[in-house]
Amino acid sequence: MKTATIKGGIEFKVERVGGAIETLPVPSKVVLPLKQHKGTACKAVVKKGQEVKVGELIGDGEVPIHATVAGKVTEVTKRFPDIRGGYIPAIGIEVQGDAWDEDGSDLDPTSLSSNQALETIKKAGLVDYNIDAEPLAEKINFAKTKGVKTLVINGVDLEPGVGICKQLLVEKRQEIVGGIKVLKNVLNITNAYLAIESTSAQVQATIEGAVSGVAELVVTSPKYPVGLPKFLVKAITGKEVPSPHGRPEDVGVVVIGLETAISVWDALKTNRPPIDKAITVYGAVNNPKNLRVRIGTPLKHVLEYCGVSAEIGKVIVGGPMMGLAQYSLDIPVTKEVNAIFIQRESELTEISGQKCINCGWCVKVCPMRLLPHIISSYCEVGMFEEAESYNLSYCVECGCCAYVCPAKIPLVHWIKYGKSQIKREER
Amino acid sequence: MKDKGFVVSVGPHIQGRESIPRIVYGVVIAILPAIIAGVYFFKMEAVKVIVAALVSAIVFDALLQKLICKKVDLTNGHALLMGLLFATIMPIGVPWWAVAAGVFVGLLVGEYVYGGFGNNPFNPVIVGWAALKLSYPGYLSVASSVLGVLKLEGISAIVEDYGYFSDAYGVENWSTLGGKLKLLGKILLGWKAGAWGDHLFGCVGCICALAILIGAAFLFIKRYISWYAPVGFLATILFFSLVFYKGDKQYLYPFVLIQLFSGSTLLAAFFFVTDFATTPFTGLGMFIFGVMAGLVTMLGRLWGKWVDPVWFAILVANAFTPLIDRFVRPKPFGRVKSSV
Ligand code: SF4
Ligand code: SF4
Repeated sequence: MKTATIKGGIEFKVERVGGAIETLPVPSKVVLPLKQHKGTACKAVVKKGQEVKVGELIGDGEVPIHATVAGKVTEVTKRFPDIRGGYIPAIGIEVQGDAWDEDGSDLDPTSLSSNQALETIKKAGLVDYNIDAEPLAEKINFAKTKGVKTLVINGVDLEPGVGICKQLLVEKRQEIVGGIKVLKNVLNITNAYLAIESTSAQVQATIEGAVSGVAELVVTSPKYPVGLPKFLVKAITGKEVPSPHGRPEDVGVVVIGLETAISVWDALKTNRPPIDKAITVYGAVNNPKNLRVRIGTPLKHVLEYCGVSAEIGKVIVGGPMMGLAQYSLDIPVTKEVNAIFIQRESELTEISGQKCINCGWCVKVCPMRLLPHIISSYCEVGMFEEAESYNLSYCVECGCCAYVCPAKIPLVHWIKYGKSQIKREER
Repeated sequence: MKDKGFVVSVGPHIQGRESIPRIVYGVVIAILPAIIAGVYFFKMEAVKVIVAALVSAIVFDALLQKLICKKVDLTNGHALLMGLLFATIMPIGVPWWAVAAGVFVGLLVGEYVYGGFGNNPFNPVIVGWAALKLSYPGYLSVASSVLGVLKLEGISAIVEDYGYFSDAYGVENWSTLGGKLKLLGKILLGWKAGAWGDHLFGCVGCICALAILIGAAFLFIKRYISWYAPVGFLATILFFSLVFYKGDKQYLYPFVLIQLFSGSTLLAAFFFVTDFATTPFTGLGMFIFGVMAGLVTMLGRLWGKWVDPVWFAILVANAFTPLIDRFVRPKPFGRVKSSV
């Protein structure tokens, strides 16, 4: 076992949502966006009115989309709101059943050849679960061409309060170990780490026992944003991913999420695509929970289950630091969603209009070691080139700077604004 | 439950609890022990200075806010802090109108001409002090502002006057550890009228080292100040007082104690070289700033004419802040050396 930490960042003193992952009842209608990954949208291969089965292919493309329920297609639309803003094509299905027609196969994933496994991973439409949702097969191939030597399984819940990884580590140990084995095999490497956030000594010992011989356990200090791949790689291997556009693969490491590893194991074992996703629902809800949710379930259904009493101000997909605020509750849970964080109207962030007092707190917490106050003030007045000379593009938008700023300056807002303006000028 | 029309904005969606008013009031609380000690030691004389500083700070702050056409807002505690900090570095006996003049110049020249709190290059409190020092040197003369002790004509004078310790504290000998500790304790607790007559003299907030340290501990616990600048500052003072001490060996110990624990040193270390606006924003920069302020202080104390050049030293270091911030910068994460 080894321990790891990062410079900068914030130690949140928030408990992670605990409790077993409950299965959320399937709603009466699901919406499946035809793009739940980084890349181009799939093409719908079903028509309105058509009946579909659980696991049936409904969108074909680089990362295929499968029906997660049985039922009737009620709509095939080109314009459905995306969690990032803008629109994407989507398919609505009225739910008639939620069970698989036949039993899944019971293969031994470790016996599959690397190519067979990759094939299934691609066909099952697996992505590396998180807001970026990189297509997994593509990611693995990229790592192979880069000659990656080290695999890091990211079992650290990035956002404060999210408890999915923490819970999966308790509930799915076998699948995790299996998933790591398979991934090592597919990547053809021997060196693997399982990174987890420090928890109770007992939990750590059990996990260490379970993965011994397969991966080395790395325990990170409970510091946000150590769960971002860049920082995890630095904390574990000491190598810095080149900024601004480098990837962990550039320094010989591939980082794959914990839940992704589990989904690899499940998909290979049963030869079925994933139909559900574990998420944490917390913030201003009556019962914060870890839930297993059918992909395509609208947020509204999830929130009704957890109970919301007060006036909701913000609905955030992801978490409080890097999450994306949503306009409406029609948005479904997709492969990109790890958590839903709800805020009351009274809890919204304030913008004070005060000036920077040069306290340097933002500098101290910035994990990218930037000078956020200078970058942001240049962006604010439209001096984007100057901002870039202070490495504006390095910023990972983790939000640490704006979180600590005592003047309540919306630093990340200005930074994002600057980045978007530069992009526009380049075009 | 409504299902549409929620607020959409970019993250982070939460903010830390700290805010500027909270920090300002935090520093106000931290300075209170020193103020209380001042009242305890100097009685009415301290009260006069404190009241003059407070009232004038509040009045002038309101006035200046009005002048630059802002809505007058005194709830941020800012005027309160200015008044209290100014009082701490004033010797007793300064007439109320001089205190008021200092506060006014400090606020106007030190702060408002730069557009207010946060933009000012020099510490406004010390700017006010400097104005008084230039115009009415008599009130801030050597004898009045020294290290919190009375009539010393220069650091060298202390060397001859160690009799003070036996007279005022009853500490005759500090060659043993017990003696050393006893002397340290006495110095921490504060100066006493003793060897030099009946009347205790000094600055309102510099008289009791312990009170300042209590306030400093509070600031550290709250993380309103970091260790970089105070350590750089105090370490430099320690280094100079050890290396360049020229007097009799047996007086080295009290000499060092006075350099470090005389009120003005500690007050500067925890309340002035840690100021946000006028000091660098990186850790290393803060350290360098502290070293610089310590250096000027000791140059002045050991070889200069001023006995207590601490405030002056901070102004000098303030002037270097932009330069330090220019050259001391963290290396961004993952920066690849470009071939250009
Ligand atoms: S500047 Fe960017 S990387 Fe640095 S703390 Fe702020 S959001 Fe994070
Ligand atoms: S934290 Fe806020 S007030 Fe402090 S230096 Fe950064 S931007 Fe300025």
